[in-house]
Amino acid sequence: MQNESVQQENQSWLRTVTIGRNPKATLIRVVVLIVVCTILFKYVLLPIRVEGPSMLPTYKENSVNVINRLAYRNSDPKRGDVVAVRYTGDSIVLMKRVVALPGETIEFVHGRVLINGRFLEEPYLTNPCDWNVKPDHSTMRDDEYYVVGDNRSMPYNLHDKGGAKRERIIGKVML
Amino acid sequence: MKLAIRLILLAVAIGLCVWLWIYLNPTPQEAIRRQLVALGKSATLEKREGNIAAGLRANEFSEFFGREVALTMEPRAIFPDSIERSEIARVMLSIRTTYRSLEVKILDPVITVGADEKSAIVELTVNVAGDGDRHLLVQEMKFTMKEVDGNWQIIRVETVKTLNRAPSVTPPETSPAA
Repeated sequence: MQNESVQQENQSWLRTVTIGRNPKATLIRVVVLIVVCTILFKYVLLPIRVEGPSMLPTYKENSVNVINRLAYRNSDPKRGDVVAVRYTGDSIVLMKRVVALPGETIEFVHGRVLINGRFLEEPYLTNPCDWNVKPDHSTMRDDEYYVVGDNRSMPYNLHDKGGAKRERIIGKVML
Repeated sequence: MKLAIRLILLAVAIGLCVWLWIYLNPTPQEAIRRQLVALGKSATLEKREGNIAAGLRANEFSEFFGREVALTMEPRAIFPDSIERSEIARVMLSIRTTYRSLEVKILDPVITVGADEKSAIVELTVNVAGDGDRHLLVQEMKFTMKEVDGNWQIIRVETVKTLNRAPSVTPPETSPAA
């Protein structure tokens, strides 16, 4: 008799934990949660995992971050923003920092960026670097932003960088 | 209640028929999408193969391409302007016998079918994982495809620059920062 009562109590507890006291309300909550998550992660936020050393030391490898897709809906990327640049889609994106804006001319001297001949203040640069390059395509077009990683101590040719068209910049890194 | 069950069964049956129809009569976009998935699988190497198996798989891979494929690939110094199907099989065989495992994925294809529905341009991202690196190679590419005897074959391959790259390192042109 006592055993049955304990069993019933256990079942009731399990039921409360899994589907709640009011199953109808739980179902509605689940549906709302699924809809909200679908909209949030399809149209607003893009969760990413950082891979590769190009954004060191600001973003470490294997750290998780989030891209805000709405960041540039009503405004353009600003210098210093860390942005996500898409390939043909957003399955894989490049995470880079915007250093030159449309119309500006860029050059690297010892890894530091020169914009229109003037050094850019870059507090995020910590490692010494030997990049001394003036890119062929050094002046940005009207719809182009020069993006580069923070780790300029890595070999120049192994580092993805260059002019990204505005349409390829899908959002701003949030964290 | 019986009526409700019948209606649900009818809806499921209609849904299955529609799915089967679409599966058997794919649109050009769907046919190309399937072809690209198959291409990725064909290029993938799960474990080291024997020479005969590698030869067969390399040959199978080359069937995705036309008899002669035009190439516009960077760096231009390495890649020729065109390549024959048999040469593709040879290159693939060499890759399959060199690497232990490679996973090739074709991501985010953007398919534009021509007005004649016999040709298409596909922009896509190729991700190759291997040697413990999830992104051994990530490259945006553009394929021109043509329908030949019901099969979509790749007749042109181009690499696309995601970023307008700076050139290779050149000698310093500016004096160091003060």
